[in-house]
Amino acid sequence: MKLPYAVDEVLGGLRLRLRHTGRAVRRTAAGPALVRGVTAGFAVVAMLLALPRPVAASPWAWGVVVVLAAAVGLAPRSPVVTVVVLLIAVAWLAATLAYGEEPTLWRLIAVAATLYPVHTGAALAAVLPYDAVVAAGVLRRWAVQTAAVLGAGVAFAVGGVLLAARVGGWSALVAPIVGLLAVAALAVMLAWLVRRT
Amino acid sequence: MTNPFADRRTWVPTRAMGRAVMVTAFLAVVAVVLGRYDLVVLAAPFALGAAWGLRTRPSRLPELTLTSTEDPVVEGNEIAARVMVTNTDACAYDVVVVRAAPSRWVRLRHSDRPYVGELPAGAATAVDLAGPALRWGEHWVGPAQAFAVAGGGLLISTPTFTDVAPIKVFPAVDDFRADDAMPHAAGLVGVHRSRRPGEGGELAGIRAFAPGDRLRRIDWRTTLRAQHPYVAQTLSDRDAEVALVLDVVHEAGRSGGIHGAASALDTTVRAATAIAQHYLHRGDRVSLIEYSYEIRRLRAGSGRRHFHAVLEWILQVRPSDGVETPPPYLFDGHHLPTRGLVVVLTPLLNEHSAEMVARLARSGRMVVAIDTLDASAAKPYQRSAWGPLAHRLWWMDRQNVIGQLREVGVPVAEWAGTGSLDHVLRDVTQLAAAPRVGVR
Repeated sequence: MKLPYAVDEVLGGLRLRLRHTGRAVRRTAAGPALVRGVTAGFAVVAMLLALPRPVAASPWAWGVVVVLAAAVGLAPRSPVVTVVVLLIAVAWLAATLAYGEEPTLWRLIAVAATLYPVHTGAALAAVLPYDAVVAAGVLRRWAVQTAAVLGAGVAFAVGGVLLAARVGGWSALVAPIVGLLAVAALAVMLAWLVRRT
Repeated sequence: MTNPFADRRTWVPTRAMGRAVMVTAFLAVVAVVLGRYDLVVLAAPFALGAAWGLRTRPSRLPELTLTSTEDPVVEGNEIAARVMVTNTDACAYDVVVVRAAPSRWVRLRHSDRPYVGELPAGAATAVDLAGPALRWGEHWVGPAQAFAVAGGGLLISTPTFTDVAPIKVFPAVDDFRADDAMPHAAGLVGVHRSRRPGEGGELAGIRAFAPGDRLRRIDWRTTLRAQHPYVAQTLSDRDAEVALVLDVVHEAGRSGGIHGAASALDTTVRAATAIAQHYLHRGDRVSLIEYSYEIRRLRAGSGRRHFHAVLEWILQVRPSDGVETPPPYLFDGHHLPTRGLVVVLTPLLNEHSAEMVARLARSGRMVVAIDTLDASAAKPYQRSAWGPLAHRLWWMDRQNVIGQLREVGVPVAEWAGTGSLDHVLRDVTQLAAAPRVGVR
């Protein structure tokens, strides 16, 4: 049976797209694939840690988590990475506010330690061509930088908790002060960047 | 090649930069509004990472140079290229991505993939590429392209480009030898045994001494035996002019490079190089003419320097690949020697080419045609029932043209390297020596 011209055109375009995708998959190199895979893995762990327990236990949530993580791995240059990072933060808020789960220190550190590598991993994957030959030093340097920043972040968190315990409240006083400081630092940094650009 | 980014050569923020700012701002604002310290903990790595990455900001783009083998190579030989990236900035590059694309017939190993490395401040790194040149011609490597990423992935440079690095690849010379004598010799010096008696090294016979003979030519053994002076008669040594006509009006067949199938153009170029090398090595003069929509000519010359000129000239050969054929007045034969050997390398795909060869033969020149088309590789069109029949008709028509050329005294030989021309040269030599009937 002869197909209409428009359908034939669409099918031809799809076949071409599939051929290009197959070629890209065959050419994908180990280095970029590793970076994208690790980033997607961190995204899965971060989402499962941040989601409320009842939600995380349902199978459909696992499906959504895997799809979102795969989107991060497959399209690290797209805005989907930002959306996923913000979704993880929102999930954390939902778990602690709506579901009333206790924001324990270990869980907070675990979410922070998996959320930040999603950001840095996507940043690295975004600049690596999928078929590139990547020197091991690049991956090593990236891992060390991420670990150093995370270490400083954890130290910041533990120091903050200890400070909060000393002043008597969990976060009622410290959070606004530190948050305002962070916003001010952010504004200063942006102004500095705009001036130097 | 001009750099398309020349007017805005700078560093720009990446999407990761925007993400870091947005996530930090979102978490900090919500932390302030809700009084949640844990959100500050989540935002802290983003803020710290951005601050750490942007503590020093690059201002210069990576410098990129591309070098390749400068000396010409022969097809099949290795070519080397080097792409060097230098970081002249005060801060390190987290990532440098380098790529260089060679032309189709230069197979540099791993050149089809970009290379990614890190580059400390003030350092340089090089990517060495090597591989064979698969086909003769003027090829190139590049342009090379590089961009760098700094600040922990928050800043990316605009790409830097280099010019292409040209590479000359000469055709591989088939082993060629023609032992038979040249039909016409031109000058009074050279290496060919001519058909005429004269000063030379080739013994032609013994004859009685005659006035004018040189005393050193006396054959004393015969003289003593006959009691009468006899002299050794020699044939003169002369050089010859060989004109190679390269019919490149049409390309036929698909070239597979040095290790694959040869197109008609490949065979033409390689055969012309081999013939030119052979006759130049023997001291003859060789000229070349490109028979295409435009006539291009290399004057006759001899010696090693002329062979290099032949190689350079041959790299410029291009098929016209059009329906147009050279107008007859452009190629009326006045470029060709009247008493030399004219070798026409032609795929005989165009009736005008066959007419040109016949016209040269009728003008009294000694013409040899070399069939450069691998006709056995031509397969009939299979998607139509008429394909095999059309192929058969084409084949018969071509054989008819070859037969007609033979009738006007042009031997047609397939190119087969060593000794390809020996039997046709013998025929032509005999024709040249035979008495002629001409119009006075």
